[in-house]
Amino acid sequence: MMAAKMALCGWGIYSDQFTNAGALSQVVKRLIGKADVTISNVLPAHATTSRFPDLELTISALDAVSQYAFRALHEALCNAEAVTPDRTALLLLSAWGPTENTLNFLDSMLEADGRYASPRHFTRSVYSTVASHAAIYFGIHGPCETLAHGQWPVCCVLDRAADLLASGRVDYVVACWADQASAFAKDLCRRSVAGLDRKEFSRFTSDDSGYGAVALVLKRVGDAPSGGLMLDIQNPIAAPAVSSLDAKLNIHSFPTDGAVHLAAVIAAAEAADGTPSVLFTESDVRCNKRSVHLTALPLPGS
Amino acid sequence: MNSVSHFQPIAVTGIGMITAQGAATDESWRGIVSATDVLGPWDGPLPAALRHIHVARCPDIQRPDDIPDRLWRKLSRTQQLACVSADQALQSADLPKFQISTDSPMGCFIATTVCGMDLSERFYQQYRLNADAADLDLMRRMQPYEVLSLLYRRHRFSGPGYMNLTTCVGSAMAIGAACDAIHAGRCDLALAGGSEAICQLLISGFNALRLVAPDGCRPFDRNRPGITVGEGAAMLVLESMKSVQRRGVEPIGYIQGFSATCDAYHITKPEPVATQAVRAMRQALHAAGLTPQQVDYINAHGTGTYDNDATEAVAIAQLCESSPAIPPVSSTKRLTGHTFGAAGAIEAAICLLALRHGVLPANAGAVDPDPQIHLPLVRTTTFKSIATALSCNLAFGGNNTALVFSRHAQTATKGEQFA
Repeated sequence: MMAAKMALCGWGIYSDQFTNAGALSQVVKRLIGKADVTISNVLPAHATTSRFPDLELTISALDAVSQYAFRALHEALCNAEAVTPDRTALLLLSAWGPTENTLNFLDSMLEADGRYASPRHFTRSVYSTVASHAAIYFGIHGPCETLAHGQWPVCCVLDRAADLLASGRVDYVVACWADQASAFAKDLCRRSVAGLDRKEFSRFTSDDSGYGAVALVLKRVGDAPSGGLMLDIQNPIAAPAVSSLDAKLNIHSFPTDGAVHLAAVIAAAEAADGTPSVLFTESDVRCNKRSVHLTALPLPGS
Repeated sequence: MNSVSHFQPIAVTGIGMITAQGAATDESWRGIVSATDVLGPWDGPLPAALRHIHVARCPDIQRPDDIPDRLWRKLSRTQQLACVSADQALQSADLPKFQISTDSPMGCFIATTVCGMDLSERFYQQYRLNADAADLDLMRRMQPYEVLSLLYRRHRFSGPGYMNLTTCVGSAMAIGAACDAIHAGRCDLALAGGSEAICQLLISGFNALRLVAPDGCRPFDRNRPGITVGEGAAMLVLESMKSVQRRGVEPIGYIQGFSATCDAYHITKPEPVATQAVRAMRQALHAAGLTPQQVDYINAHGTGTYDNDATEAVAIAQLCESSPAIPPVSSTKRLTGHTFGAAGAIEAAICLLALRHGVLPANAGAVDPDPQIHLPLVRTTTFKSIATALSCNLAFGGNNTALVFSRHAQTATKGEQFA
């Protein structure tokens, strides 16, 4: 299996702890070389301010998971160079999708014996709705794919991004991971952890669901100027080291938590002096590892 | 048009297909060729107000020997359909069911829209009554990636893959993604397709949108009231040419091109002027090195809704505006129902079998073709040798895909004719 390399053009985050990339970067910079840092000391107002008030008006009618995705996507696209709509793909991965809308639809269906089921909740219950809304808002006309993966939710999206760029059909891939802290999902997770045998453990049975979204704008390495970051997706092999950022940042294990971890690793690479070399690792339940090595983009001609 | 890399042909060496026409590929194909009407009321749980609606339900499928009955009964129907169709595809490709060579890791790219919603609905009904008494086992199938995880565990796949949840184009995208992974050298072999089971949410949801045809869909008919909800699964075994040569197998046909675009126009309505739908078709043909004139058959998405069929007709007409004629077009949705996440793969299988057997499937259900739609519909099953076919899918959210198939690998004239 061949490894794949991509250039990072921009990134964004919106989670229960970080409302933008700058906030996460501040925390990561303070963490480097230190044993422990309390996030609230670094970011006293971390969860309250929006950098994009106009966007907030636009998304106020959307469901929670779409709002998180839009905020992260908006920041990533603002931080990146302008993309060409016809030559840009959007990939979105969500473990829970718009679950609350699905439940609202089922409630409406069950309560009136099928006669008055809510068309609005039905259209918003479909997993791909989040990505489709985003494509409409951001004007993306390339492939718009909604993905799911139980083991490697981060690396599967990056694999797909690399393949799309290699295919020549697109010049940019906007990748997004988004999930919401649905009350139903949290309750199911709690019951599942209490009721299932340990052998059945999966990300799904995590007992602490947070929320949020992470977005990256990616392009081919050969098309990117030097000076930025390069993501080198490694084959599934045992990784030489595992980042310990998870524990320090106390990231909630919502289903796309790996994406927040990746964002933290990107922030660490951006903050590194000299030549960055940071590893993101994702493990499945059998401890098979995938990793992403973040380094500086090679100089032209090298 | 922007440049698109040319697409090296990908061989299709195995097909597994379960539709309302039959529980195996041959049975399904025979039913499609004979244009048998198999629609009927849904016998599963459904609110009383919806029980008159006709659906396309698959025949009962047989539990594979390696799956214990206790586990089989716990699987969602989407998983069951996926398992059986995957077995059919692997057998058709002359591959072992298990322990597929680790020298050449096999990828797995699967699509669904509702995954285990049949079980989730049962769980949620229990949960509403008494959350503590709800059966957690039912809930575990709710996650969409459970279909993929089951196939990976069962067949011990070790290559790349993921679930695609992009509704009606999902399995066409999964096939395209498998081709991309093979082109990128990440695997030589891949299983790609989709699986979808009927559930209350789908019937009730489309009924709420007033998009269901109670007596069955009539694609491209003057009076087309909407879709027929269907279930089914189709899996294709895709291989690089190198793998085909190494294994010494004869391909059923080839994938020559793929493209996907997004209207970014409206969450449920297609863009009326079909700019992005026709772009997907043009890009796929361009990647295949073909002109629209060289297409012998178009399998249309043809759901039987007013907007979908009108837009698709506009797209096909635009695609062929420089050609002397539009190739024969049919939608097979009346015969299989609209199988959402599985539709792209089922229609890919139909195109490949059409190429192999020299048959153009009928556009069943259209008794009075819409005079506003200027397409040469295949009114009855037609026996004719064909070399290339185009399969189009349009989805919720404005997603469009196009796949180009050929009977024989075509590499000589790439990109020469259609710039």
